[in-house]
Amino acid sequence: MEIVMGMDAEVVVIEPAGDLVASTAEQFKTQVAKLVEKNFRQILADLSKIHFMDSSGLGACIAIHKLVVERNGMIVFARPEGLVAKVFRITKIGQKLNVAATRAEALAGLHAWGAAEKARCV
Amino acid sequence: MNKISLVLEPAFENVDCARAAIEGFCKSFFGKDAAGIRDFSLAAVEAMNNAVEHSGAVCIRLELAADRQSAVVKLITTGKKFDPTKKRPLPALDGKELPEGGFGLSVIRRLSDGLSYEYSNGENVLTIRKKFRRRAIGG
Repeated sequence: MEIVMGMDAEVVVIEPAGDLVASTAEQFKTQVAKLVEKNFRQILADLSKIHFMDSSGLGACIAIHKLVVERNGMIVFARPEGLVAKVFRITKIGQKLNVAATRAEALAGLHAWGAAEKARCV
Repeated sequence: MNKISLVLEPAFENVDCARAAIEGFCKSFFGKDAAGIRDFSLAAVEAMNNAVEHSGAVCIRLELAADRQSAVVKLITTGKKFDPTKKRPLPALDGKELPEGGFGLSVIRRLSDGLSYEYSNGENVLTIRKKFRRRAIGG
């Protein structure tokens, strides 16, 4: 699995590509854990280039969601398609994570959340 | 009935290789049903992952067969007796803490068209069946 990362203002955009399965799930978790350690709190995980995901990959998504939320951050999983969307749907986990159909929608949600957090801390 | 067999050491990397073989095999018969092939291979992957993680088996044997409209994968392991066809509910999602595992068996059940299990002579035999929309090539 390859992971490309970028920034959009204060949002870290992480884009894994390939298979999110038992043999690669740890790599995904580790990458996000490093971001959290560096105090990045707004994360967009674009899943559109994940073509195959098993329940271990789903477990990795849940684990990183918990990790980010525990550190008072927000993560949005954007563009789950095909099998990824199906796994989210049949396990009903899609209802529990922040999921966005488009990257723009995910970014809007994260920027709004970030602005609200800043206002709350002032 | 067309058949292939695979034997793999229990490691997740080997599950990836076995999945490629399953997908290749199914594509040659049901190539137009890409979604069905993905569903079937995911069901098989979940079963193999369970075997790698929980069975304690020293090897996993796969027997894959296809006829005109369906494919069957038999997963044969020695090791602990475990019946994945027994009904287990999805992990509870309404608690404070979201579970990170326990979804595999539900995924197998939802994505397959038939699931059976038998235990004999110290071997677990899990059979997963999938019907496909159409046959792409061959007879």
